[in-house]
Amino acid sequence: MDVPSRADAGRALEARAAAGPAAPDAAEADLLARARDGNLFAFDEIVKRYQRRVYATAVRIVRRHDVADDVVQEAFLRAHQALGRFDLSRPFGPWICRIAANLAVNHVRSPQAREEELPEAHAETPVKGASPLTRVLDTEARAVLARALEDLSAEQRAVFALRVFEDLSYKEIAEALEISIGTVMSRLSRARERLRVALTPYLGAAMARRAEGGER
Amino acid sequence: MSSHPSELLSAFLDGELSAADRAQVQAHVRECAACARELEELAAVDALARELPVAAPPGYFEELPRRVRARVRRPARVPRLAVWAAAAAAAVMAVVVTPIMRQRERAVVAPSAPAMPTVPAPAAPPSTVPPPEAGFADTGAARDRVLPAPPSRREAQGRLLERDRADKPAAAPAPSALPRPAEEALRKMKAEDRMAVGTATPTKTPAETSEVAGAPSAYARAEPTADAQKERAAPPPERKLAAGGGAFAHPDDRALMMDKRYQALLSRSATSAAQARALRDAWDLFAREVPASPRADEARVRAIEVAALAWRLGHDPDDLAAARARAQAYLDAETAPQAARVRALLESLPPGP
Repeated sequence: MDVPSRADAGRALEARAAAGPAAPDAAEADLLARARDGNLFAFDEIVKRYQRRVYATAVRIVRRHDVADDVVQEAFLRAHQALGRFDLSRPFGPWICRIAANLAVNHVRSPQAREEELPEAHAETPVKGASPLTRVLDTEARAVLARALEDLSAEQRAVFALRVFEDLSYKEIAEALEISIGTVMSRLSRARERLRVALTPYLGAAMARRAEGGER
Repeated sequence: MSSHPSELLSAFLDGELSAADRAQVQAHVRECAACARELEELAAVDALARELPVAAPPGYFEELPRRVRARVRRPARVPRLAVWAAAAAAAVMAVVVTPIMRQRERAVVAPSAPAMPTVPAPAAPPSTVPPPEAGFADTGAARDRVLPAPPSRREAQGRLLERDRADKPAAAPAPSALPRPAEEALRKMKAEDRMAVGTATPTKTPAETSEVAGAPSAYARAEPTADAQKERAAPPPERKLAAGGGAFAHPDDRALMMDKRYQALLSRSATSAAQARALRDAWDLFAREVPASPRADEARVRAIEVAALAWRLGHDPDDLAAARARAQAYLDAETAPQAARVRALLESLPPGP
């Protein structure tokens, strides 16, 4: 049978990269250069471009808005301070997200974080489109998944977030979190397995929908 | 491969296996329906996870650039950041950044979705005249207050009451010093706030959520305090305090404080954009801390008015966006007792982007 694999997509991207590396756009490099020279408006623009992505990375790991907000601000501040050492030919997004992920994980590991209670699981956002039954199932599945994500350790969540939401390679995740590639592999495997077990009742419908999407 | 390669499936999915392992897993999966299904399920988990919305409170992203800018402008604040932050960032900076081929804005941010409930940070007692740019300046100070290990509840209460005494000695004596029966009239006034405290749980109706979350705690922490310096030396336990008023041994203590804050906020005025922003954030916080109180509605409306004032005083488009976002969130809520007042205000503002 044909097994769906991210590896195929990965190879396609490698081929694309060989044809011409995906350099950050010139406008962004210019913004970063100006920000590095102390232009606050330019850095403002960078913040506006990446704030949602950085926030998403942070909140997926720390699971609290107020802590994520701290992390996001801190990440941008750190990035601003380190712009002088940043290679402008490289994309800014993954870099800032890695800073945020690292800050987030370190926060969750801190003694202070252990005293904080997690908020309730994600508010349920009804799924649009699809049949009513699918919508209900998907909405339920999301709630179950949100809770299952909260039950993961911060380390597992961080690895999962960087891989699944940020598409970082194992090597990049290992560098960002200062762990070995083997640890990345095992944490990710355990995290996915726990999520899979929690979601088992809903995965049939989700897979059917994926298959439909694939045919289209 | 005879045994099931369960632990390799995740890495297989990511294309991170060696060629030999990959070939083995592929061969196994062709023969083993259970592993093939597991692999599909793992892929489905990823897909579902990517669909999870990430919701920030309304107006958050309109405000964030300004708050980051304020902190970038004030590098002196940086060294006082938490150890975890400094260590973590230093570690990341040291890493050689490898070019990433895939870069995309995958984060699905749904600002209109109900925000995740947050535990609000309590306000410091509002000062009558905030320092210039106090909204900015205090962001760093407040942040620092959050980071040290929270003191015990008793310490927290004592400290807070001390601050209250220092701020407004004449307005009302500290609760611990009050002969409670003599405060009957005042307590009656407080009853609504007490109820609000009792019902302030993270689970809210959609209307409450959108309004309550409209004042993210981070804004609240930007509330200016005249004694920021003093507080840095003795950090109050921000988050603990706010968790349903848990730091207060007696509900009256909290009610008294909320009443004093309400009165203090009413008496505050703003003559600069920075002051208006600070006052706006203070009203936001107040509304969020006692969401069920009738005063919370007035606080929400006042936050909108003073947000508009911030724009009129400074002509900063971020302030305009913040005012519009608050007004819209108010009007979108299930209950909007002062909708006419807010609508009129919204109509007086220039059209949004």
